[in-house]
Amino acid sequence: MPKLLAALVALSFTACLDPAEEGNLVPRTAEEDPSIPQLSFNGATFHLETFGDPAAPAIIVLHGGPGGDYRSLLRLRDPVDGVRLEDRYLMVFWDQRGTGLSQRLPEGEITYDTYDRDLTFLIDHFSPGRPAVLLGHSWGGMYASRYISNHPERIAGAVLMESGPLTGALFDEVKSGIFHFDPLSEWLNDYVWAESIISPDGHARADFLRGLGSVGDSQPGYHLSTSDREPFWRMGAVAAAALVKEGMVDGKPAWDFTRGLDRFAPPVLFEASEQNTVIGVDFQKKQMGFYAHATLEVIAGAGHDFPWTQPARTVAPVLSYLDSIGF
Amino acid sequence: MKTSSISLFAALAIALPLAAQEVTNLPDGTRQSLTVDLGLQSALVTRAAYARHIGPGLLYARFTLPVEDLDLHDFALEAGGQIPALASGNWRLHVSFAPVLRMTRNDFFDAAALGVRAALMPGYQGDRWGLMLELGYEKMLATHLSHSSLYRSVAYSGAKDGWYSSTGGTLQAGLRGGWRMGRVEVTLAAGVLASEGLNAVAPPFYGTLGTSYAF
Repeated sequence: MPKLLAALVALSFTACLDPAEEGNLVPRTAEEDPSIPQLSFNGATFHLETFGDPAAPAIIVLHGGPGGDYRSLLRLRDPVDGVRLEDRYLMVFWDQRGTGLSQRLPEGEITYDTYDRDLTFLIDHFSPGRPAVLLGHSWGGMYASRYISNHPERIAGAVLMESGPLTGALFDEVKSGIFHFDPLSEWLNDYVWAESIISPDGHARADFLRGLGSVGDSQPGYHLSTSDREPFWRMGAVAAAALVKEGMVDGKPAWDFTRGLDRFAPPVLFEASEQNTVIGVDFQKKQMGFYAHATLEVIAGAGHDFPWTQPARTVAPVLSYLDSIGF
Repeated sequence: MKTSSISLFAALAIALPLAAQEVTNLPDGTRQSLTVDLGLQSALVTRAAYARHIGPGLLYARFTLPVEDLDLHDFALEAGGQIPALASGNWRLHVSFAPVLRMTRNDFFDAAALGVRAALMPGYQGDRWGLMLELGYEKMLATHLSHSSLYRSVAYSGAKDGWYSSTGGTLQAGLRGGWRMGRVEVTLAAGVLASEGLNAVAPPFYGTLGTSYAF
């Protein structure tokens, strides 16, 4: 046994790859790799790309999660009948603070307030002197609604693509359907067993594990495609945990991103997938009630990942909506 | 992992009067023991162990399998020893140490992890019952990772395959209690788990129920 232990320890020291080193298990982030499109503001470096005329009206894209990234939203750039969103608008795609290929930060720097300030910076930077449109998917819809609640004057309109629950109470109504926590489920066992080999210590390993947790059939009610899976660059485990934690009071969901939405004058476009049985059509109809003027577009033949699997059906109503509000 | 609701070892756990490491005094003349337990520890698992008792100590081998899996891509195997480092009457401090092999295959990677497990178990060890604190640390010293084509296509095409040093470690603190009826001991263990960096793991607790047979 001493020889075996010595061999193990020697292997440990000579094994050349460090799981905590960026670029091994997960990609490097923008502040570590200058080749990644980026913008630094508010004390952090963000992965960010724009498409379209910088002088055109700006649409800020808010990806899902929390803790996801914008890779799965890039098909929104695809043309619909020969027209792309970026032919008419400045499209701003970015990975939110602490997620995707944006810089990793300590939990204390991931708050609703810092998220609020980041979005304010982007609107001021890309849409100086005029309101922007927010286009948010899932958590991005929640993020957009919270921002509209706090800064309605900065927003000309919003597209909420199957937004997550805008209040803790609504989350309570659907929480049993959001994640499938069967102790015998394959995805859950894969995740927890992997965690006995790779610990969620440090950003790289925690992000790697969170990615594994996202790929299994953890949300069957969302009807995500398995033949055309949503891609991502890198999950943001710390950011996701920090934002979820901030929404809780005494362990219970307590957020309310709806205050004042009924006084938001511009119309808002909701999109919902036909197949999502948890936060799909019926759920979005409830959420529309928070806004003074909301319309709903159902994306046929798709689940929650419709911006990836059905980009044309997703973008066509967005183009019509933007025309209708004179943006 | 291939989903299956009940594994062979789960069936054994139900059918046989066996358990995990004993926390009561063994009957005179005991040379060997077999244990099986079932419970939640990182995953819903079944474990089977064989121990050879040598004087006050023992050498053991233990095989752990997630219940939902029978394809043998996910398992753990440890083989080591346990001795009473201190003893006073029925009060003992057991120390155990074992090399560990953990294997897994999932949607994103295959892994073969080599590590060590050490545990301290102070407590009362009587003839009829026992109760011990168990403090454990399992450290993965070297892990070979191969990323799947799915991970490369949906997430990171540049992921590096090969031997990784120190991919993780798990801390364990809990209680293990047992009740002996002749050659059979029934054991219940429960406690908390955390990563070596003191971050929460899922689930952050463990609990196992088992039996052992001494002969």
